[in-house]
Amino acid sequence: MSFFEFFIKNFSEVLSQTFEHIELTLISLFFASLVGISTGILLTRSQKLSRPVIGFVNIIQTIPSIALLGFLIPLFGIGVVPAIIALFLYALLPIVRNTFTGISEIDGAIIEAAKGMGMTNSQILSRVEIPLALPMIFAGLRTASVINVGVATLSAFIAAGGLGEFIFRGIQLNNTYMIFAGAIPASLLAVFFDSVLGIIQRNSKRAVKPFLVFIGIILLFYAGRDFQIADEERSFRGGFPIEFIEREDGLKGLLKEYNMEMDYVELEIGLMYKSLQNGDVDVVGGFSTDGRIQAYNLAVLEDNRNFFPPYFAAPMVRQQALEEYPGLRSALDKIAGQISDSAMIKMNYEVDELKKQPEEVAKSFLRAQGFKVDRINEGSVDVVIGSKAFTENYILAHIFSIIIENYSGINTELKLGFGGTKLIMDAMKIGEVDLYPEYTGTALLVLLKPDEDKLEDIIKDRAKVFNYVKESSLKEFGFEWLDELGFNNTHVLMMRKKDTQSLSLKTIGDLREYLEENSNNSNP
Amino acid sequence: MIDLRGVSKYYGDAKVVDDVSLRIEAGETLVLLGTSGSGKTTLLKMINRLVEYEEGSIHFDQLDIKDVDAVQHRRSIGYVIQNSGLFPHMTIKENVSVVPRLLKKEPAETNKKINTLLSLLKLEPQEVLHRFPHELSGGQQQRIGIARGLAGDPVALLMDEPFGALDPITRKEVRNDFKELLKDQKTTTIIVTHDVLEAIELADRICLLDFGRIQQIGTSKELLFHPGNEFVNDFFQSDRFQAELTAIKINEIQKEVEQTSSVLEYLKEAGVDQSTVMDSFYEYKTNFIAH
Repeated sequence: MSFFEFFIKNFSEVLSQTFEHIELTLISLFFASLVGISTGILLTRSQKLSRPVIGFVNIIQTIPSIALLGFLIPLFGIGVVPAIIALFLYALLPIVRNTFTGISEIDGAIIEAAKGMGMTNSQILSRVEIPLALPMIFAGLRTASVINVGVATLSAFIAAGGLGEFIFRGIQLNNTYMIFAGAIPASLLAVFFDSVLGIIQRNSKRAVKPFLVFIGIILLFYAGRDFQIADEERSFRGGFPIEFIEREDGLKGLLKEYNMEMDYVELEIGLMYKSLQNGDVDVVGGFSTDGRIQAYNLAVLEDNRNFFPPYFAAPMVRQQALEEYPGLRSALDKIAGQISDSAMIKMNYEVDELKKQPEEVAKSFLRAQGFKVDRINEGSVDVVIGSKAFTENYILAHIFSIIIENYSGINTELKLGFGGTKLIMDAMKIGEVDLYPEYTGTALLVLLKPDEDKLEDIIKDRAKVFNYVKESSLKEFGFEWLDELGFNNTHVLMMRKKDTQSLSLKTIGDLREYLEENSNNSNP
Repeated sequence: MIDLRGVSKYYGDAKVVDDVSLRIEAGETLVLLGTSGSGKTTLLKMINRLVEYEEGSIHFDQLDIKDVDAVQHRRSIGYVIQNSGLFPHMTIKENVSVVPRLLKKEPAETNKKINTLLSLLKLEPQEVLHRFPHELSGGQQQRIGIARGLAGDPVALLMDEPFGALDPITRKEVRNDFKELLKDQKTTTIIVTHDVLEAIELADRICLLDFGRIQQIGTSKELLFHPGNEFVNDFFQSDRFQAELTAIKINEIQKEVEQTSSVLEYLKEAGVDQSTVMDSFYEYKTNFIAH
């Protein structure tokens, strides 16, 4: 399919996202102009205030957009309102500063002439200062409009729509056409806003007033509609990262498997937890050992139909290394089945939220389990332990290293932070890495990719998956899977703990029943 | 009639205008002359209350200007500044109509007035009215500035170094046309300048200021030939000969000539026998000083 075909096929969605984008940009720009221009004027009347106020809007501008959205969620929830507020804040700086500068830089003699001829202060402002500063003010508006079109793409992270939906979904799904379908209209919009404002500026005498009235009416209509929606009692809804929504083994398949319906919005993964905590969404999708489950006091809904594939972690070791160092197997067997879901959640929490070092967390976990942890072997490196670039994998690599050093004479070295499954597998194949923590689901779906019949046959059964992965890895790569560590880091649905208790929901099946019973009313 | 009684102005501890009393008669042209920092501009701006004064009072025909709203007061006074001070975003017509519009005058009446003024200032109304200031030459802009000052039929016209930014030739042209205009309009006018010859040429009376204090007030001949103190005498010293030639009118020394231009101009333009004119000039001067 060519880009053009993709574009035609998705035209109606491109169009609606473009309109959402225009709406977000225009409303925020309108309010930013009102507030920004009047603030800029006020500052010219009180030079003392100008430094702190301009400093303050400068600071707003330097807050990263995701962080600003994060600040706004507890105050305004998710959706159009916080998105507009964020855009409004970003648009302030160029407007305030240009208005202030434009008026301040008018030749003092002209102002004195105006005063000397008997103009009142407000006449000087409306007949002399504003008209003379208008080119600067418009330059500010144009800058602000371009900034806003750009930042508005991030509104997709908090379910406010706009062209960012295509862009970020495209990035997640590695779909270039989809990225273009969002990015091209967005850049055209930026150019469009800039040139329309340019045209108005050049014809300012005739165009400004009718244009402002026109924009005002449109905005009131738009804004009225949006705030009305925001005011309505909303129904139970989910919030999921874009990738989870799109994947067959994600939300789509899940809803099919459980035969249920649910309202949901797209959310950036970091903001998703915040929104759940804040009550903007009621259920989110994540991973079962995520430290934030503890940090945000969440409860995991049990996947009673085993829809999500098992992702049990285990050491995957090069056969050669096992033969060369027989102590390796017996040392690693000591932690087989020793790490529970909750223990893994706790360790992830300690690293992600409490900012402890992975090694320290690994050590204190093992010590608490009654393992020796203090021996460090010297000499040449025997075995290299790798990890992928995420917290849990780092912790597991450290656990492997400590166990091996303490329960065999083998000296280990850590090579951490491989940027993907493919990269670390390549390193294993050439012997750069001898072992690393891998997950059964990943091996099954990413490394081995069996045909559909086989997949359907085994995927719901933890043991079958493990046995298949173990056999095939050995056959195909010469890598042996040792016993599973005990926890399952799979996709899960989670909710606020107090909701699962008050609604007595334990499983996804319970949620389905709850949703069916309450199919047309409000949030818990 | 404008009456200043003992006005003083302080900037911090410095007294920039010191106990100034003077009276400007209706229709008179008074020049405030002095070096930079003599307080002449400050004094001018007190008259239209762009600068407020701490001591003394200013009356316009018995009415204390502090009893009138400052904005209303300014609308009744023309104000012309150096570099014209025209509004760059307005056409010439809009610029000149500012005060009449503030006073809510009839547009037809205003247009008539503007046309008269522009013609007196040697400008073709149809050619300039729809233009913007930057499209005109410096001399034209200054003429428009003057027309703007007079468009609202002011009771007085205040001018702050009105010809200061022009080149010498343009300056002379604009000044001469302005002099003709004043004969026609008979507006009470106060002009600030540091240019001795300009002062002598335009003034009915000159008020010479130094350090905020009046050194002498009188006609140019009085200041030149009967200086009240050392300062006055020294002030004219470097330009004395030219100043004297400018101050004395040709018809004052040669009764048969009807022209009222200064001796200096007469000599330059007429190219007449200089020796007889100069003899008469010295004779007149000696008589004036002795008188």
